[in-house]
Amino acid sequence: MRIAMHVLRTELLQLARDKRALFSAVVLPAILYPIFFWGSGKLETVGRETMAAREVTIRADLDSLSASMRDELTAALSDAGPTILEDLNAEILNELASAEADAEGPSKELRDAARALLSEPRSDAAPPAGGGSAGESADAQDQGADLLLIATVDGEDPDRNRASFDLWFDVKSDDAREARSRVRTSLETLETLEVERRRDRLLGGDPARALEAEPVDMATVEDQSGAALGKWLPFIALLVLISGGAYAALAVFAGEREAGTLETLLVQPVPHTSIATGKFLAVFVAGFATLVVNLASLVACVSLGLADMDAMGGGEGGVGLMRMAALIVEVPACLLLCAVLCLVCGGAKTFREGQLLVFPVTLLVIVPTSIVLRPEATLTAFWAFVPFAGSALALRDGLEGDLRLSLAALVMVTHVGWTWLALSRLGRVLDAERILGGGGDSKSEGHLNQAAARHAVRWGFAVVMTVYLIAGSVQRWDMKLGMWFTFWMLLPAFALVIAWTTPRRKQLNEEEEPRDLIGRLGLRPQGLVPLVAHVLGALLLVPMLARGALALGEWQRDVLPMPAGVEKAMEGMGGLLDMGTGWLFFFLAFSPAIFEELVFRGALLSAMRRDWRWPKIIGWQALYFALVHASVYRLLPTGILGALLAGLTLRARCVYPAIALHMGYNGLLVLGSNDDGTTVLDAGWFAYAPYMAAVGLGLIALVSTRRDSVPSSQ
Amino acid sequence: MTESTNPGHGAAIFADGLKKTFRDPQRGVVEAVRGVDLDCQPGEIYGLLGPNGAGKTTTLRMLSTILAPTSGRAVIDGIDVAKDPLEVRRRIGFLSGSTGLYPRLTGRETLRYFGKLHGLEGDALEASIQRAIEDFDLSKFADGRCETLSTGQKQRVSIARAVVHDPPVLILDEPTTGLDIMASSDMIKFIESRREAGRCVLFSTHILSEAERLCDRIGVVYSGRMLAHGTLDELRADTGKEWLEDVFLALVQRADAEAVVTAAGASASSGESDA
Repeated sequence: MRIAMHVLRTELLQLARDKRALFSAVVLPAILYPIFFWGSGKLETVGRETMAAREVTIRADLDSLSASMRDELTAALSDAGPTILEDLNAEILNELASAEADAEGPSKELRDAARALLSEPRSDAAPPAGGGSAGESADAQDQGADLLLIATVDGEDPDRNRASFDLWFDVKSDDAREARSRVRTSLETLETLEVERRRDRLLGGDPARALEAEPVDMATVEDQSGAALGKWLPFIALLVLISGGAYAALAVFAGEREAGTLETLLVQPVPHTSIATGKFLAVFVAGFATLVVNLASLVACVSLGLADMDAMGGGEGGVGLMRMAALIVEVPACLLLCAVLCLVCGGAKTFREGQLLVFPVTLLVIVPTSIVLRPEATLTAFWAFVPFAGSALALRDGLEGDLRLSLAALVMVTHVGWTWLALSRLGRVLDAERILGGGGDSKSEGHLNQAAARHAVRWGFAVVMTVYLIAGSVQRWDMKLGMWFTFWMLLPAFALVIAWTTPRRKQLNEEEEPRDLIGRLGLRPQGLVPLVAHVLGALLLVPMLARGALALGEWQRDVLPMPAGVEKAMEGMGGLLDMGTGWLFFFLAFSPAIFEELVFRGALLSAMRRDWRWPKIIGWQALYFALVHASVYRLLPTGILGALLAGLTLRARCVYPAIALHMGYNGLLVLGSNDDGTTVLDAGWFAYAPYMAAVGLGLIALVSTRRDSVPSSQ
Repeated sequence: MTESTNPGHGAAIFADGLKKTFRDPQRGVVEAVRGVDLDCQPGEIYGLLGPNGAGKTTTLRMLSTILAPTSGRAVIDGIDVAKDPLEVRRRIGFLSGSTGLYPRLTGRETLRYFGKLHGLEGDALEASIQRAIEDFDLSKFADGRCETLSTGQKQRVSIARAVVHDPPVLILDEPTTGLDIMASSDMIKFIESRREAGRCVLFSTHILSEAERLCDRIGVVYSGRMLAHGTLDELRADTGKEWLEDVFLALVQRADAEAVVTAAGASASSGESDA
């Protein structure tokens, strides 16, 4: 421990001398929150006051209204702010509008007519309704009006007719928006008055008084604030910790590795675990200090009244110190997060590669933490074991005042346990064979750049985000079109671009290898016999895989219940079910099997295989395949499927078996339901699924494929 | 005691059949070192001579316990590197190809950090730091951050760091690469001073003049093999060449010719078996 403390002191000394790190981790958050809250509050106040004081001009045709209603509207507008009310003859506009009554929107002619009425200079202005000065009126005369207000009344009976108001304005203008706001406020006041009047005249009283509900919220102000805080504080805590801890982890592991100081350190007569422990503690201290400074700054802003907790959904009061003590349950999660950051950055060979790897860590933390957003999810013994989800739920419950101490203790113990497991691996991260890549001279370490793998990671992220943001939007707009776009345009384009741009390695004669698009997409099988054996083996695995998926789904329903709305939407599949079995198979089994495999197990996996060993490839494949399906409820099954498909492709050295497995699996799950509520899995032959899987695995295991040719050693 | 039970008896550095094979994701299995033998006595300077990629750095890394040998045996100051690597690390000073200095630590802090890692404490630590500062003339810049030092100054701090615990064995990987004439001269003087202090110095280089001037014995490494080793006179006698450059080229050409003959023989026997 003496050595670990010595390493810790030295690392902290170096981090403290890094002005950029110190500024972004400590100084910036300390001043950013006050500046942000004070500045945004000030801006809002100034904006509100400026708009309230601004004089707007409204041209109104109110002739169809009764005199009393007209007076009331004028008075309401006057109360809303300084307003110039001009008379308007809207005959032309009304005629055009009635001619286009059936049209969906106003024609260009109608718009031009309204714009002309708006832009006419004032010739005979009324005095400002809200007391605007004469000077201001003179200025406004040249500018035209901000809004046209046209009233029409259908019927003569003053107790039953209906007054309609058309508002013509240009939303691009601040004055027009302010005028609209004032008219709306005034019309709401007018409506309330008129409704009350008619109710009293026609009914002699308020019939709604027959039943009156008086809700009484039992939650205290502290409860309300705690509930609001509990929804975002777990995210803030971990993300802030990442922002501070990631830099420290990158500096003390990847940065040192890149600078060559790690090699020097490893030749000192101290156990590598002591060095790793010291570095981990430095990362934790840096990350935790960032977190504390951020939270302190945030709390100070709330205490000083700079931050509007009410606006954040927190009520006017704050959360007491006792409830804030629930943050203690987050400490073991912070330890775990720092250990994960150390593991990831310790595995990175350069600072830049480390930066790239921090993004998936952020995702891995956010996904389980997002459980706090689900009101039906409560902290149970199961969730206590799930990293980051348990601590997030515990913090939420603690802030709401509902935390059970036994579960809090379980969360802390399990997270300390996970941390210990991560730390036990951290010592191995400092294994010199891995750090130096085995080789000696700088030339043989050239592969450490891992250009192909980095290419795959970058493009994988691009695929996930594009599918999520663009393809998802098109599918929500029109599911069928979205499917065509995603599978037959977007994914093939990605597959080709990724495969085409994958960096090529140098041959022995220092020339780049030929660009092999077919090979890079995984489309070149390693002989007919291995191909047939692996495809057959993959198909034989499908029934067992489908059974496993259903069992996983049932288990998941217990621990992470799917809201009825989401379940219904997923079952409906955006109207695809109405298209018939053929189309359903085409869109949900055939197309995804081909094009998702070409992208993930073809182009991306081929690039990853150049630089990485199989565990890392399978991990990234599982992660990206889970993320691209963009659903917390499908994260686990799609992640497992992605890992299996990647393993199968690595074994078969081509993408066809993965396509067969993917198509069979999707087809069976999507099309296997019968109208009577049974599924194809209820069929008798499914009892033989384990035997079929055993035969399939045997085929895959026994039929070997050729290894990559190994160039002669140096 | 026979040599088989106590190999390298009396040698500061002893290596027997040292091999290192590693798996390169791009090139598959690579044999970086294919059986290196060497022994280096206290008070001796031994130079490993070879081109880039010959396996010098990997050999030095195995001797300094950073990498584990795939096979073979290495003993430093009587300690087997595989059996007690921590004890071996206490007895060596290792200088890697890079200076390996922390940019935001001062020279003095660097010496203190590594002195403590070597178990030095209190007065003994301060005395060692002061001695290193005086020996390497660091006093003018010992309290400046390493990031502000020149290349030569960095190299001097780096060497001082490697010997702050006064190790009996010094392993230096291309110590003069990237240095200017003055800094190289300082380094050469330092290596000579170690010999005078009775320490063993093993260093790698591809600068022939440096090896010619400094080394008591030279080992020529090429394609992971030790082609020849001995004093300069012994190598001259072996190759019949006068200048070290010619000696080196003669040894390399002989190794290449042998490799061609071996490959042709293997190809012929493979053809016969196919037939």
